[in-house]
Amino acid sequence: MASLKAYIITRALLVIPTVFILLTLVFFILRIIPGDPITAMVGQKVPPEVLEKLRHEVGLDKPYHIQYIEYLRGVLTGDLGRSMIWGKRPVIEEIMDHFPATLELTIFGFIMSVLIGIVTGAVAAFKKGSKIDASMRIYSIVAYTLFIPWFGMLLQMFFGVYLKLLPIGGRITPGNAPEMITGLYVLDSILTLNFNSLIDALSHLILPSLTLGIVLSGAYTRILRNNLIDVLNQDFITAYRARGVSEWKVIKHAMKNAFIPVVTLMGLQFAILLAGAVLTETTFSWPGMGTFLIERIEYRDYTAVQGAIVFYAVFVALISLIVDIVYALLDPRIRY
Amino acid sequence: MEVRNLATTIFSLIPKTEGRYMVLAGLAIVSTILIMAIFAPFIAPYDPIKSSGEALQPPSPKHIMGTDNLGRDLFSRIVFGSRVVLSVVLSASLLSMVVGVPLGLISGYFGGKLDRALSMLMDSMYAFPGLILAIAIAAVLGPSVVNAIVAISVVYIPTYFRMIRGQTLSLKAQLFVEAAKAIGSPDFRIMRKYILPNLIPTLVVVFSLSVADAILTEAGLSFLGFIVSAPTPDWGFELASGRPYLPAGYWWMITFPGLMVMLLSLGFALIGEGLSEIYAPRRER
Amino acid sequence: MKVKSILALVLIVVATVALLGCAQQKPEVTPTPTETKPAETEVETIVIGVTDKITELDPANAYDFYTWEVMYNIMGGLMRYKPGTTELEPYLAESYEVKENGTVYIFHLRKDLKFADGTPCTAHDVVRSIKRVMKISGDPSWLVTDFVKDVEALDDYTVKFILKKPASYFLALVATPPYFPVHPNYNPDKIDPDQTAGGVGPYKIVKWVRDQELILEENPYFFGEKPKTKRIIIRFYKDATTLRLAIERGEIDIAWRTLTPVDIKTLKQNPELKVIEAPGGFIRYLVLNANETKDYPTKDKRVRQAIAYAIDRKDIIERVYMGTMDPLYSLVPNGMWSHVDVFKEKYGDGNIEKARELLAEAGYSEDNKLKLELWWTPTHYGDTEKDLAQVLKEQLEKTGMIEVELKSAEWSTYVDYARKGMMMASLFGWYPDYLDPDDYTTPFLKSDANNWLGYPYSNPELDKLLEKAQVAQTKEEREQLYKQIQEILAEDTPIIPLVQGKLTIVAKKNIEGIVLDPTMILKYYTIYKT
Repeated sequence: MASLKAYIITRALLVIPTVFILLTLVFFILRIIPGDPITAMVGQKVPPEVLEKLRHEVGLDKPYHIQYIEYLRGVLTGDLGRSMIWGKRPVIEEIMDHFPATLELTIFGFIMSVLIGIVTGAVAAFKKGSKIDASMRIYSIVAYTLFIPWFGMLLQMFFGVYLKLLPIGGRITPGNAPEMITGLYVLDSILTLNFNSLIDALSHLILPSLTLGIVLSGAYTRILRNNLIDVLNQDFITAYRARGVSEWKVIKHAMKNAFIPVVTLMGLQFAILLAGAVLTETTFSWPGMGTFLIERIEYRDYTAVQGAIVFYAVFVALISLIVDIVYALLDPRIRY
Repeated sequence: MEVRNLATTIFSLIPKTEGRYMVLAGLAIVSTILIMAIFAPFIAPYDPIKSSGEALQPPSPKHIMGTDNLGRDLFSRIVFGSRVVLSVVLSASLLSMVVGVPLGLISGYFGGKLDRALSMLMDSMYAFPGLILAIAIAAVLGPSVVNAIVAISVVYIPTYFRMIRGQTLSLKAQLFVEAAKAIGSPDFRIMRKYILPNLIPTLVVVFSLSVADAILTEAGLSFLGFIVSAPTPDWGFELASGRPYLPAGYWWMITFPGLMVMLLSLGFALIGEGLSEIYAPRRER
Repeated sequence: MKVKSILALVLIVVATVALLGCAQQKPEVTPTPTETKPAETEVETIVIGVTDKITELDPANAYDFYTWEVMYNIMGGLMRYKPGTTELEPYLAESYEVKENGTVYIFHLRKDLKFADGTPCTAHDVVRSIKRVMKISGDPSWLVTDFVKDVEALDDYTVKFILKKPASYFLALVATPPYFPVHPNYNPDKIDPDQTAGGVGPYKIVKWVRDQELILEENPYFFGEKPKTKRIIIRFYKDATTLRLAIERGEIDIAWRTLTPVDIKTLKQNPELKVIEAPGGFIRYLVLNANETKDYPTKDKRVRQAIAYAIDRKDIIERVYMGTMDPLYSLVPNGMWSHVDVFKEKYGDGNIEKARELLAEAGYSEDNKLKLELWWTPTHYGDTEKDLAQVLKEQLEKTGMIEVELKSAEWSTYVDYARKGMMMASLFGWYPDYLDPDDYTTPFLKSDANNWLGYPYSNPELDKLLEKAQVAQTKEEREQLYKQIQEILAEDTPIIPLVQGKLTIVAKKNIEGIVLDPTMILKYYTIYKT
């Protein structure tokens, strides 16, 4: 399988220039703005000498090219520097504090979107040509235009404030967090058999993942519908039906075949998922990477903002690599 | 020549596919909001940045969308807000187009090292979450309308690039282009006369769809505070301002701005989807 | 084919989970040596909700309000403010002496001081802690280094401070966290952000999960009165709305900082809750650039006074803050000794006629309007800032002779512009470091101290008065001086005070003992349930 290996290797190598370009862009952009993080953080009363000392500590007084080299070296060793504010904790630590929250939200949002998309797409395909089909098509277009903060707030208002059924913000009631193993509350609750935390975490997850899920489901609706229709028209389906195979089995076989392009879509949707997560996090006060990024931008915490963007870049590159490889494994036609 | 043929073709197709309904609906929505933006001073009943009534009033005949916490008429703010949204989004999209289309055309037509390098750059930008890229750029440049235009345009350049490049590649392989080459037409003439006109249908579709997306990006940036600062009205920003008042029951401050974002985005999306349906209808038995 | 792909997927998922597990930092659960987990039996507990965060549990660097509040409850200083008052009294010290014209302070420590794990606390610990603050040179270290030349332990229970120059408010400084003795476990050279060993205080930390919750229990070795409630749980909420819902649903006993004005208004009407308000020490003011070298219209005193006439504080409080602030007529806040309502006496509120008169005198008219650039910053002072700017604009434009252009800059840029004197008129706020009129006057009005405001306002008469007030030995003398200082302030108007924050706390009806005082620190040890 030399060609498959070659594909994987080439694909993996492409990650490097991608990340490099993004890193460089961020580094330069972040240094031309007026105002600097030190002034923002220490407030109004500190004399200039102290300011200078702080800038020196953090390395902002070194010439740009030295800063750049040190920065690149840091990324390669996994050291994203220290935050310039508050406790000056290592950025990678702070990112790991926030990343599981985003990961959990993204996973649940993703699952929701695929499920909703598959169901609506399948319904549309099987009821092809009917009014239901048409409304599913409209749904697929409208869903994405539901502005996430707006849609999220509507859900908050309805389920949280009026019906008082679900929590409207945060990941879990403070103090109820399960013992930290991965940082994914649902998983950790299950692993530590903490039923209370599990319910608490899930109830906080419902609205945000529903918001993300519905907004992102449209693309799946459409693609599944179209592919399913194509598959259903194929000869082997007619053959199954002619042989008297039960309709459920036919559906099952059809779905399996229609699924492959959906996997590619998942990969493409990933970036949209992450972007949508930022707005979802802000709306639901979800303490994830999105909230972290916005907060640190406000405080002009260079290293933290840089670290966050680097993290996103690497993460996206890795995920698209994985998706491409999975797709290559699934589809024998793809080779380099 | 080719353009006129194209127009006639569209026209004759209109009665036959469903796409036309979508296009018409989309056009209706978009033109209404465009009119709202252009004629804002005449349509808005009050000054959007001055208080004109009691604070936090629900929708009433006097203030059809209610008032905000400083007593400003929300409908007027929405009307003027459309100006910000449309100017940012349309300028940004035009900018993206002006950069992305020629690059895509040249890259696709000439191929080679330039093509590979550009494609790699564009692909990495395309894979990166758009909103986050826009946030990084806008945050660094500072909150302002101009900076937002720059930030948003950067996000969509790869979209235009890829679409146009793809189309160029397939057009390049067609017979009439090879024929033109055979008779010795210079490259730029070929691009201008033969390829470019045929890109227009794709371009229009991509434009509508990416404007639809750009509206959501603009609203997102505005919501996070990266575009306007008070008291300038902008839909996303109104959403953020109204948020603290939601649990107290003041629903109108966020319902209407968000609805407008959705409608405008939907309008452009319908145009794009409808056109794409018209140009390449799904043949279903 | 299919099996391979499923395997690949499973492998990836397992790898991710394992990676996450390894990369996770263990939460900062540092049990104190004597107890490893909170008592199992039913312990009297009160739950408080806040939207603040603890930045770092190290007095050498923590410089934010909420962390200081926590430190006031788990640590203590040589002096403290008597709860409910602005009076200082000896705390960890039994007595003190002031010598050599106010440049030497000698404190006699109590002999029964112990940290939460039983380790004795002596003068050597006090000196060690203060020297540590000086060495680490964190953000609040200037409160020590600006004043203290040296500190030494004369014996196990005596601490001697040698000051750089006399400062009559030194006792107020000693009551702030940078002067608190800390447990020997604190890293001597570096900031120790997650250290829970604490100091000498009524409570000790039993559990802390960053941004989640903090659990405090009474310190068995505390020398003073035991706290009224054995156990306090602080829950960190992500936003005001969730906090408000939590108190509405009875999930917490007290909702402290920070609810929005809208939320407070609604909660006031809730029959199961009570809302307690008290004046806080937080002030908001308008800075007018009087710099001679720049060409700003605010150079002209008449312009500044006209602005002072036109401002209507009642309108601001009503519309912007929904009644949750108090009007402020002097830089020295309401409730502090020597405070005089100078701006009210001189200018009143919304005096448009007088404003117009002065503007006309200065050469402006309806055809030749004063063009004023008013700056504000979007997030540092909360969401209401844009409304404040807007309302001020409307008030000033009511004169018909002013045209206000609103400009904003994000905080770090804002502070930068201020330093460079680039803002004609700007909105700022102030939290006190120590409770003394000096902290509300010198940083603004004294020539060398107000550089951060960028417009070096300089009035030699004021400088002299301020210096005299800093070294004067008696309160009466100082009071006189500060009254004079306020009069001059009102005449020159380089700064116009606007409003003073009100502290608001919402609690279940059965909670008693909440003391809100100008220190703005909530003392958990006085609260109890009935």
